[in-house]
Amino acid sequence: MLGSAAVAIGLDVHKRFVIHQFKQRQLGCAQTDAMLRKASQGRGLFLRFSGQFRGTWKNFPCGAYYRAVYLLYPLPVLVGEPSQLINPHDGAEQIRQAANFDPDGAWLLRHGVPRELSYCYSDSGNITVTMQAAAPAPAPQ
Amino acid sequence: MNPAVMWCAIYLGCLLIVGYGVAAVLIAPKSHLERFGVAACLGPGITALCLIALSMCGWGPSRPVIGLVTVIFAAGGLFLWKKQPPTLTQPDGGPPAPLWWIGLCLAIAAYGIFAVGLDALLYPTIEWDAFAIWQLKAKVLAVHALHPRPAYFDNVSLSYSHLRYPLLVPMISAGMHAMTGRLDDPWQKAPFLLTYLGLGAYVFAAIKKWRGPAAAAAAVALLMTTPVIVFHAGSGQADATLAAFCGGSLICILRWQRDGRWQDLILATMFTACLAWTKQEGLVLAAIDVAAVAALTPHPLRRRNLWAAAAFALAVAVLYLPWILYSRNLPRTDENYTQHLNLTELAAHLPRLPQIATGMAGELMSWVDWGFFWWMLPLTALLSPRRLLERPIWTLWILLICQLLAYVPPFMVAPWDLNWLLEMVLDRLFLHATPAAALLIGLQWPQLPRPAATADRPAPLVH
Repeated sequence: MLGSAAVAIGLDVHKRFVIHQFKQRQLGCAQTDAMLRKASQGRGLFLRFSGQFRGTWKNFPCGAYYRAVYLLYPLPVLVGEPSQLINPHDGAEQIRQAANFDPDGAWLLRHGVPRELSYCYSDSGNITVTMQAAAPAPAPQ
Repeated sequence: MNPAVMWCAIYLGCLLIVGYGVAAVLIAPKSHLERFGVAACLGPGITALCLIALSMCGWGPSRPVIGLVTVIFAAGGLFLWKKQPPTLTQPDGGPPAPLWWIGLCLAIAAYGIFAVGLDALLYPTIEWDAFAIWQLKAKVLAVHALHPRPAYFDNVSLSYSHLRYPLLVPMISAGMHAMTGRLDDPWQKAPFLLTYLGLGAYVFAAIKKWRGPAAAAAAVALLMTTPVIVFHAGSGQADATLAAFCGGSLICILRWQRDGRWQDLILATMFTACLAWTKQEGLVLAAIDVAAVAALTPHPLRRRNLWAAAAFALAVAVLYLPWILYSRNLPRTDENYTQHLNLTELAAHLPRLPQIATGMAGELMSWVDWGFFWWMLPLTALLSPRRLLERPIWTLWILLICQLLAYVPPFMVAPWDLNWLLEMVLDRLFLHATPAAALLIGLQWPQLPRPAATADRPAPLVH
């Protein structure tokens, strides 16, 4: 019994205070959160993911979308059409397919997501992040 | 003082008051630790159920609503407690424990409390399921009442958050948002520290009554420091809370078995209803509880027991009915296990059984996830084999095995990649079973022989 407790406590101490596993994850989350808040500026957000996220970044689009929805709620966050189904077991694939969806400024404004945050994954493994505000479509002449 | 800290403390106090309102009536007066255990586990559960009921009537959680619920339970508890006849209190079973042993086990449990406290009170919500599912729902419930139905429940782009999952745990956190007046507060996980402490206190008090403080301290020290529990208890997910309700219901069922007191049956009903409202797995556990009340008592076919089992089942069903009605029209876009759990599909997926069995066995033996927690089960059974004939022990073994076996059919029909699914969820499913295992470890704990003068003399009941 004492051995079990020693193993359990030792593992937890190692994770928390030696390899700082939780601290690293918190820092990662904090960076993502700061990016999302900066991009949103208190308004709805459209997320774009381009490139083939792979390796350790394979689930990044999923994680970023779920995090954005939670962090910014009740502000709307979209990756595609509002009717785009993103369910638990196919979410990653559904978000990847939504990358083909390219709405214009008018659509974004109409759906309450006037701010855009784009993540572009390059073949070299870098992720480029851009933020912009949706521009309304020019008035017909 | 930061106002948010003050409101957090007030909310935790409200949860405890609601729990004490129930515990004061249903638990013997001198069992302080037991009362705290019940209050800390059931208080958040009952508060959440009341908030859900009011939210379904159009009143979302707010300070006045939470205050009203607290006052009602405090007043009701005080009124009924004063009318309560004196009850017999059983002294502890087993010999007193050496102080150094209690101190050592307390120190071990204290580390668990420290680690869970860090997660619940200081660290932000970073676990995937916590922010993607449970705490997202908490924000929805904090912002919108359940009537009229919020747009969240029809939004299929949020279907990954399991739109049909029950709402007890999110409502506990929503209550905190309502109290602090902030959606981004860092205190939404604080109530789960309470349920973690309650689980430890209640399991300790229960084992102490049966086997004495030495066994109780050992079992609780093991329970509260298993890596999986420490990881999940303060993370903002629902699994540790489900485990707390599971432990509470088991203790009450064992007491009902032994004493046949209606107070224990009422408590079991509350715990079981909270189980059903916490996760889908809770429904299965609730069904197992009903079967246990019906079948695992000394005289199962006696009229009193049959009526008790029927009343228990009916009460749990009535308490769960609002969610059945509310969720019946929600989109079905996730796994939908109930549709797939039929004989045809189970037969078609029989080849998955060896993989599932291997995965479960591997998880039980994983020292990274559990230390040697699960190894203590067979070890303590082997050290005290005669104890296996005692009713509470074989009852717990039956319930534990039923609980673990109940998880097999959903694995067989799950649409996910099975290896990935086993890796992702097995530790949490076994987390639900840890209270049963801890109770078994405590009840099977080998005892040192007593001095001859006091051996085998039954301890008198005292008021």
